Amino acid sequence: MAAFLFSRLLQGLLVLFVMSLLVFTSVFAIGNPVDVLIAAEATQEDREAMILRLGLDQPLVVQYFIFLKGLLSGDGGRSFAHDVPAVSLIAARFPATLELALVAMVMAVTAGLPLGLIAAMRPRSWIARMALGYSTLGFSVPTFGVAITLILVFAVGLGWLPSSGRGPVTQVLGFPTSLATAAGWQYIALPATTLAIFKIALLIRIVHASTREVIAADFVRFARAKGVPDGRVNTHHVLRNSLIPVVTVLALEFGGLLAFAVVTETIFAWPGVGRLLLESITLLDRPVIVAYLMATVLVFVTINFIVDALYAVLDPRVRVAGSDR
Amino acid sequence: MTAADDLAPAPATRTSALLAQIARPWPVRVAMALLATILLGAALAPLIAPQDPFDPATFDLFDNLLPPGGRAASGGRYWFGTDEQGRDIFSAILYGLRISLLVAVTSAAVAITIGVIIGLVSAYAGGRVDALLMRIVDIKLSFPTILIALVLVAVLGRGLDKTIFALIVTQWAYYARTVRGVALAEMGKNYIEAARVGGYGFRRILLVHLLPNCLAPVLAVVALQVGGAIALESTLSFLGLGVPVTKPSLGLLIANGFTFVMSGRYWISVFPGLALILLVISITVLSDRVREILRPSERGAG
Repeated sequence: MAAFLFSRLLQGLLVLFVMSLLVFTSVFAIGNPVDVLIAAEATQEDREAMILRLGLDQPLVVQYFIFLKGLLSGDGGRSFAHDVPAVSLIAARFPATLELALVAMVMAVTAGLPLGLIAAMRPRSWIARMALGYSTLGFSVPTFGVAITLILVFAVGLGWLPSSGRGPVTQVLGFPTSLATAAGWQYIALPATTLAIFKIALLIRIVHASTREVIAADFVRFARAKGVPDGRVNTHHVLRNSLIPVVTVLALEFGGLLAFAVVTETIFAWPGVGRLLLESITLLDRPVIVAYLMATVLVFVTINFIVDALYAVLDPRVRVAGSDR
Repeated sequence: MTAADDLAPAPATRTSALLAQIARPWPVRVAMALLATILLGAALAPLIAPQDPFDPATFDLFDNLLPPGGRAASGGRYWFGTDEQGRDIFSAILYGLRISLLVAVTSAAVAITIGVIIGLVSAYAGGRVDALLMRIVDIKLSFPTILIALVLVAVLGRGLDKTIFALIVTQWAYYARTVRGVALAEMGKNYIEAARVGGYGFRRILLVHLLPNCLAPVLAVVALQVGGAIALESTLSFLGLGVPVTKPSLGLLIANGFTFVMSGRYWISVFPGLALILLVISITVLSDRVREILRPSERGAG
């Protein structure tokens, strides 16, 4: 067990290192941020001063080591556009994204889990048909399509909900949040729903598929044959087994939410990290792009590690099978 | 559909029987009809579109921002309305479809080729090569596609070719994994063993023996991936990071109209959006059905 986790930890660190190399070279090798950042009428001296200040005169290898050193000391370079450490920029925007992702996730689980279970356990009911039809629909419509539809209906048409910004932000336990006020909830409603609609569709599919598989398994049929009551079979035999893959997918999807927020945050002008990334891409603010990507890689590697560990705890077979992967 | 017909090993009667089986549920029939209509519309765009959206001389600035059904200065009607330049939305959709489909189909074709080669080699070589390749695929698949595409576009810049490239990079791994899974199962069968004993080379076994037997499951994934590619391209274009303004795909049309949504001029965004959603949904419904039939054991699996 410990050996398995240790090998996974090493793999994770390796992925981090490889990604830092990949991200750095790809982002820093192409495009000239000076062209974007500096006014067209700037003199040659201004340009050179800027290049010197940003450290762009150094060879790429030197730039990489400076970047790596900064990364390890938690700095990660200064933003070209904002002239503050990129990491602090991301840290300042992260609570908004986290808040959005958490609300969306809670919405997705409360709706998707029961619908998926009903669809699997009562395949002929109309709820099952509706749920599966919805999952096809929710799967196909791109995020921005959902966002525009919601804005048209609830912001423009009915005028019930605001469609842009985060609303009033208050400090709760030292964290800035918009969830402490009713107005804040109005602001988060549309972006969170946008994110949740896709996740509900995904959850219905996964819960449905994995529950169907378990229901057909021999041990469930044996339990039924033995005369165990239906309700007990469902809670003790089916759910316990069918929800293991769901838990892991949920963990991975949470990481996905943080990244998918790019589109949603941009449309709803939500001041999170996703919007920061898009702004940085248009400004060619390399340190922020790199810091964002490294933060995302870190989140993903961490989540992957937790999922692996969780799997090893929940399902002993993985430990054996995992050793040759 | 024609690709599936050509590649099906069975005689024509079985192919038509398969088609009939696919088309049995009514939602699938609706999806097929929709898809055929959309593809036909895109193919015949120059013939049926009232305007050429790339030629400003064919539209009238006095007709700008007309609602659906609005009467043109010249007497005709715009059933889908017009945008701020007086461009007919219906024509823009037909031409936008062509660009969306071009990007999605080209990127899918290249991604399939790369994925099939990597999958076959991985399954055939086994051992360390297999482990390494599949680890790369795992890592690639553990990142959200939108993020990979965004970064690539950030690095490469905007453009039709760059968008296609970004879509290839996001897609190949799915095919590689699918092919590898199928090929691995095929590798254990007698005919491969026979070919090896017969002294055939690596390349011949891979291409002549292994490849044809791995294609059916790949085809089932293709439709789903093309649908995904269309959606991803439109997202990139919507964010202003995809196709250039001179080549407006559906996503770019929707983005252009988005600025007018707030003032209630919904049609500039909504009609291209509907076209996009109908296209992707009909592809999804169809590919779900094909997978269900090809792989009955995975019925209902995502």
